[in-house]
Amino acid sequence: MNSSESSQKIRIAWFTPSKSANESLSEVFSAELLPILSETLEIKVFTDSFEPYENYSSAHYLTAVQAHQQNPFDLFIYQVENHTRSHFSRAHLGLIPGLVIFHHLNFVDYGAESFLNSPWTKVLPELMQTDINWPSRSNKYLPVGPFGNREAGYALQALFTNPQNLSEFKRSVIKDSISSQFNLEPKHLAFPVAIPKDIQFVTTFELASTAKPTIAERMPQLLKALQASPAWKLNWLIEFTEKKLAEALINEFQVESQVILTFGRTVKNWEKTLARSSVASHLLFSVYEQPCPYLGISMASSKVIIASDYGFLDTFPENLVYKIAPGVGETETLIVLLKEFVSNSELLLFKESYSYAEEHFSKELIATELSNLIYSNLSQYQNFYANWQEFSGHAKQALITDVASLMNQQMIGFSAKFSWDNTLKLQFQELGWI
Amino acid sequence: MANIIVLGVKVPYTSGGMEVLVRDLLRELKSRGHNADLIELPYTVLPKESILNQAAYYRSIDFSTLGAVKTDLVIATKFPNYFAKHTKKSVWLVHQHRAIYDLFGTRFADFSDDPRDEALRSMIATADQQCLAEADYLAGISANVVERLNHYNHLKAEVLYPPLPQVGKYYNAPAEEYILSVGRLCSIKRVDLMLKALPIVHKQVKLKIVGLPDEPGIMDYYQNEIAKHHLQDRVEFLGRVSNEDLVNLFAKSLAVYYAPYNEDYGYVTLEAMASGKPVLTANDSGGTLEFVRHEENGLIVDANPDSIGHGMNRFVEDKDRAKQLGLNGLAWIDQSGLNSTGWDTIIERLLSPLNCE
Repeated sequence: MNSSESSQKIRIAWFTPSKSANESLSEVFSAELLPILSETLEIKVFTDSFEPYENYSSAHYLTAVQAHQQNPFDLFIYQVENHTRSHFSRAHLGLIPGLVIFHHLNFVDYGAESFLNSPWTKVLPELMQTDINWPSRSNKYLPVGPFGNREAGYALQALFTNPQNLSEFKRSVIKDSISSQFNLEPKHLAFPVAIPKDIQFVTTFELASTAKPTIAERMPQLLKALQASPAWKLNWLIEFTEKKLAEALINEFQVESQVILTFGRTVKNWEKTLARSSVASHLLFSVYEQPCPYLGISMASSKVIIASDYGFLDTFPENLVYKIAPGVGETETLIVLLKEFVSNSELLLFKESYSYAEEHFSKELIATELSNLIYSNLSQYQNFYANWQEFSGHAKQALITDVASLMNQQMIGFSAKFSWDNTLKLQFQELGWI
Repeated sequence: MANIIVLGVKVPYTSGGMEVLVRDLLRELKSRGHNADLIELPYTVLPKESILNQAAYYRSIDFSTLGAVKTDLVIATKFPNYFAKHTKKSVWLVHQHRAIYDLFGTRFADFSDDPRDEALRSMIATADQQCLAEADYLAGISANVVERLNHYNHLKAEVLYPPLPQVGKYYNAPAEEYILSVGRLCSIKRVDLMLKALPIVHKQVKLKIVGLPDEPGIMDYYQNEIAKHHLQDRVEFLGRVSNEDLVNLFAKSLAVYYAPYNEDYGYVTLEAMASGKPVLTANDSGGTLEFVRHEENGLIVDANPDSIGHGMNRFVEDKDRAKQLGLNGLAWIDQSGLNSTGWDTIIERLLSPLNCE
């Protein structure tokens, strides 16, 4: 694989869902990083839409293979997450593997349906072989998961925006994964956020939350604590589709007068919600979800953070967030904490989280980190793509052999002049298939 | 008068809109004095790699002279017959091999990430580009088909809507208490959604299904749904019916259900309109959306049993409204020309390569 002769920039095929009202994590990630990365990398964006992607050179993802054949990319970059908008990336990373940014590693579904019958467990061990043992085409495969085994297997290099998932990947990743065959270490890459220049401190007793109205995101516990804390209000940002569930919970805890619902879980709306709140709640007790990018935005806005003492937050210093252990005593701890903020509002003027966000979540830093990683591993990526090209060539040859054999079997008993070699081979050559 | 070969594709033991289109095209060419004939090679998608050979077969045939008659023009219609080579080639595209395009990654496609599947996909896509681009005239049967060509192959084409198959025979009659579903019985036509919706629809309303099974196991699946929801007395499978019976079934229906996934065109929609009946379709049904207008001549709903069931109930509960929507559809189709001839333009465009040196 070669970089474009007209440019010294590394050529990247960047997969991202097209922009939508219902913002997926991948969309946010792309929106934060692409403007910075495109200064040093030559990026072509591939989406699940035919619409242009902002001002970037962009195309529908099903044209990526042909685009790669015409002018090879140095690296394919995918993002995967627990969202149906991620299906096309999950599908395509098996066609041409690349660097995969995992926002989640556990999925509630298996992805694009025709990929349920993926032979990846049989194919990947053959990657470095010279004499490839192709599995029978009639084999049927049962999907493994919904844990992202297939996606982890195909990742040339795996990056995780949730460190909890990195640990899980290291623990359970299969030995034949592409990343292990090419010695490319999995890494944590924090979810990028924009760090505001000015911090507006708010000391009103208003909480902000972007939790789904579920037990996993601890809303029953938070609303119960709110019920016992009449001085507090909750600015709750949800999707409109969650309205009924949210209202049922509000009704259950009789906190109608304390909760203001707003709709559209987007970065912009979260920033607006935070602007009038002093405390951001990021309670979460789930292996499926992750608190970013909203947690990072809350920290960058210098809010007081309360979060579950579970998973993602394990990596945070104790003095940075108020960690609440999920389970027995959780609501009581929240009540005590809210009471303490009322009695000592100085606690709401909290600067440390801003500094932490600046050091860990700044989009400029993360773009640099990603860019450095790409440049430093470029030769390994090139090795892989050279290998993959050869491997794909073997696959094509195996296909042609099967196709010729299909016809030859039908022609058994006929003269050799009716064999595939003496008939359709000519058309295959003319069509550029061989 | 020209010697014209129309290329069809024969999927053994099945019949659908494609056969209607080719038969009608041939009739219209002959009625204008052309020496036209049809060539159809058998086509099967199993095993999927065999489609390369089938495409190459079309490529291998020398169409320039057949039976000592010089062919002036070849009109191709569908994958893989547009792989045919000729000095004058028109393509009136019904569809490409959709599993590598709009159906890729859906439950209606069988391409996985097996590198041999990917090689197959890539080979067809590249050859499609070549074989379609070499056409002297390129059209699609709907805006949906033309849009796919533009999106996936960056090829420009004209839209030529095929006129209705039984022009002048459709009529409107008072509605009886049944919903009509017409089409091949296979997953992509989504008759199962209507079956699953039927328990929501008022009990006096029945479902009449015209069409033959076109997928292994599909009838077992339908029968299972029927048994599960105790719908034995409400669902009637009519199989293939005569043209006359079909016209009568349309005329007397309360409404027509037609909600396939991303349909190319869909004669059924237009036949329902020509019969003055409202159509219920889905917002991802593709070609049908070029004709069905929500609340004007039908309903466009989400592709799930709840939305379909409640949509159908609107027709049941307000029959005057249902009738009005149907009549709006009739007025539209009369105005469109699709219910009259419409063939003159099509023939003129398809034969346009003959006017070029």
